[in-house]
Amino acid sequence: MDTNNKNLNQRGFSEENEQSDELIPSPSIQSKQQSSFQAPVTSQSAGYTGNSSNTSDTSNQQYNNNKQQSHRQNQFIVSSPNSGAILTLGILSLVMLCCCGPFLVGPVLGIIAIALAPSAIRKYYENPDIYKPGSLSNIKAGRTCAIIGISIGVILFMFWLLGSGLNFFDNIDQFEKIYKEAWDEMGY
Amino acid sequence: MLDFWGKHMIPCPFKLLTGHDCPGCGMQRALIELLKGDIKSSFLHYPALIPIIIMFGFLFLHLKFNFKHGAQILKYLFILNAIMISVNYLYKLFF
Repeated sequence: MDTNNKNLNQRGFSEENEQSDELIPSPSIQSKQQSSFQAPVTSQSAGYTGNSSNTSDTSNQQYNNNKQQSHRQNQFIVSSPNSGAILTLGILSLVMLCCCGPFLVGPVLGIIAIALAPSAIRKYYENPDIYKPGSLSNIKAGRTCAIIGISIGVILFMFWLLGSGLNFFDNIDQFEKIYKEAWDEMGY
Repeated sequence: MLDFWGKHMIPCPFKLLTGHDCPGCGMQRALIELLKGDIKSSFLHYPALIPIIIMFGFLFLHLKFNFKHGAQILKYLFILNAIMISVNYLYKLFF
């Protein structure tokens, strides 16, 4: 068991959570229950790492084990660290610049990603053992992507104002005409 | 199907409102050209479409399989896309 745990730690996945038990603010009754729960899970993972031919399968298995452990250990803390959501939102902050509602939807998504990031990082550092080690890099990459997306949106909006957006007020009359025509057609 | 889509494309609300191109104008035309198989014309319509598709594919693969340096690769792809979109938009605005 000890050698298996060392191997896991070298690979970046730590299975035994005695350190994290100290960090988690949980009553002592729960920790006793956890120790009884942990034993079968670790034995399963040790059996899995015995034939370490397919590493992706083992990592997925360990992630599932970690998820189960997180559910068992702390029922009051959210198990997912929002890393995938932050990465996706950070990337969408640029791409939504090109789609529906440019200069509006993208920066909003980026702001959501930036606002989600600190709590996710704090949750990761509260008990880093039960989360995937890649999730922290995901969060940080998503945050930088969101910052870049927002800044690109603001810069392009300024350039649009400088370049041709100053004619916007000329076009407002035309827009009002179309709007009034549509309004009249509806019969109001 | 593609011809029907080419005649009935989704209009850009920004362009309807202001009369100017938005940073994503041309993407639908480029997507239709790409689905027809014409990569060069797709690139000429909207150069950032193919890197965006690659980035989204890599994002889903990364979220599914958790590559080791996947986040860093995604970040560099994102920077490349940002440069391409902004250069394309500034070129469309001023030339």
